[in-house]
Amino acid sequence: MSRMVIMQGNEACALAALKAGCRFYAGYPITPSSEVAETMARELPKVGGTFIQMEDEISSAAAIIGASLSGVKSMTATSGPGFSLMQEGIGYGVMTETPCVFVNVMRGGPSTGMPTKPAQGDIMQLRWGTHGDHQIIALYPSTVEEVYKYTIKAFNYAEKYRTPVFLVMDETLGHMRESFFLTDEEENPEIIQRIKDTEFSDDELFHPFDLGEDRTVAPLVGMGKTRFHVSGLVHDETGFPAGQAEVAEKMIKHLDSKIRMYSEEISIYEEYMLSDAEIVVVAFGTTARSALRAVKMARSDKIPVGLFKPVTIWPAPVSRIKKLFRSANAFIIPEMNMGQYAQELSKLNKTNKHIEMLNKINGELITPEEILDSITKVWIQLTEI
Amino acid sequence: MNLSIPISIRISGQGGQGNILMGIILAEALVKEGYWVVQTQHYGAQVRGGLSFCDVLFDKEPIDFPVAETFNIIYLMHDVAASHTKLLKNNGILFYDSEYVNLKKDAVGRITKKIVEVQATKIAYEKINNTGVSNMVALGAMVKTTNIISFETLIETMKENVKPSFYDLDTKAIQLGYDSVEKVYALKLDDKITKLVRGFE
Repeated sequence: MSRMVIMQGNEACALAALKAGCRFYAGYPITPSSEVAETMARELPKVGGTFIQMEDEISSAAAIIGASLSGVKSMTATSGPGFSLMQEGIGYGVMTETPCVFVNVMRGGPSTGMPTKPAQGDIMQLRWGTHGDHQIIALYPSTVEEVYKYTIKAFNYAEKYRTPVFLVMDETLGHMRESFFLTDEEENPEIIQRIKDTEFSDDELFHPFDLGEDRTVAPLVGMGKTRFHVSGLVHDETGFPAGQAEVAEKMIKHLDSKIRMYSEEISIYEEYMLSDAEIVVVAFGTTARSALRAVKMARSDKIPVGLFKPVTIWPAPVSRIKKLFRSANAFIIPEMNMGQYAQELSKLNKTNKHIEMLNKINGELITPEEILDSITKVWIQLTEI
Repeated sequence: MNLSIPISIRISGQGGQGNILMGIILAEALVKEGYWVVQTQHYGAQVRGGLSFCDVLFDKEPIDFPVAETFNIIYLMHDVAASHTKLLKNNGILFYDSEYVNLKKDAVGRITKKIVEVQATKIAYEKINNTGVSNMVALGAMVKTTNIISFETLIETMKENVKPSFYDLDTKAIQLGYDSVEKVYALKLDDKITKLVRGFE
């Protein structure tokens, strides 16, 4: 039965994680993500889960990977400075193909920055923070309802693609309380579960790094009858380290292709009034809300503008964006950073369309009026001869 | 395109006065009464002292942008937030706690005539001997004057947000605040298609 609820962004993230089956949380508090930890600390014992406050973020990352390998869905939450500390652990999670969810509630940076102010400065770090070649999945909702929905999605993606997944928010989204309709689907969502070791016969060998005939990702099995070796070194399908060139090639390419090949399926994005848009605003997170308002205001002045909101910022919805670059005439990309996503998107701009960046890094949200000003400016440029 | 502008409330004061709890209770009560609500909060690094404020926006439709630049209702709990008076919309409602706020009535009087003095701290101290619940007195006064939620919804929501040992104390505080103000300023919540208007309200 669907009902109207009001939740804080961080609270919604924690509650959705529990809904998705998360039963382990290890973390270190940091504004503006502390409420995720607080909610998990309160609710996990009620469902038989475990909460540990670790000594720092480095051990938090390690702990959730260990917990996941031992059979429980696990999560941690942090912000910029903590996320920087977790990079080594994230790399290990990528290499060992361990499903886990890292929540990054972005705040003003770099370094200690502005703890209670929003920013979107970690976009490239989410993609490339840890060393080495890797693909990653990062989901960035823009309303509290989406935080709930996409946290569950993050856990499903983590299990399906055997990878750490990032659930990204900004301080405004994490801290605000918003009402929404909790639908039946959200109350009883589809959850991807781990396979149980009881599904194996006694002498069956299990290789979690084996690709299988259809070249999909092997699901992870809960700890029990089977055992397998886990290593951060380049390894073959048994999990044991193997440094030969053919093994390394196969392994690294697998880490890349398991997400790259499925990037169409993984991509989630929303579109508003794009069918006849000559100007496209690309925005994510809380900025997408300002952009939506700005697009509505511009449309009431008959300016043909639309909004493209990527929810999976990584992998970027490349094929859809390429199509938009062909059909539209100008792009406006507002970000609370110095143009990180715009730089990436501009590589897809093969027909030299105009890209207008709108950058704000003073700890304040980009307002609908600021985006509307950009839209009007670009429209005037496009229509004058 | 009919763009609805949400009604916006700001409660601002010093950290430790409990303005964010007020905002949370208001927000949850408004959801019960059937509105779409967004509540945001702002504070510095101090646990007590320093500027701290809470914004609540509500509307009959989902709210796009969760931040307001001007407000229909402002409650000032402390002088540290005095600069927020300039954010009041024309003819908005301004509440202030006379204990901590030295209001420049003439300056504010140019923006609005709806200025309500709430002696929240004084009432809390004299009648309940506990200044900690002055935010509840304030909440009672706000709800009576603006009539955005019913008294019953307010009490019910308060009980969902505080420990049971505080129920009686807070109910008493809210009741005192409710009874301490007389005037009701109704808010216009629906976009009215104009009747024949004579130029200005």
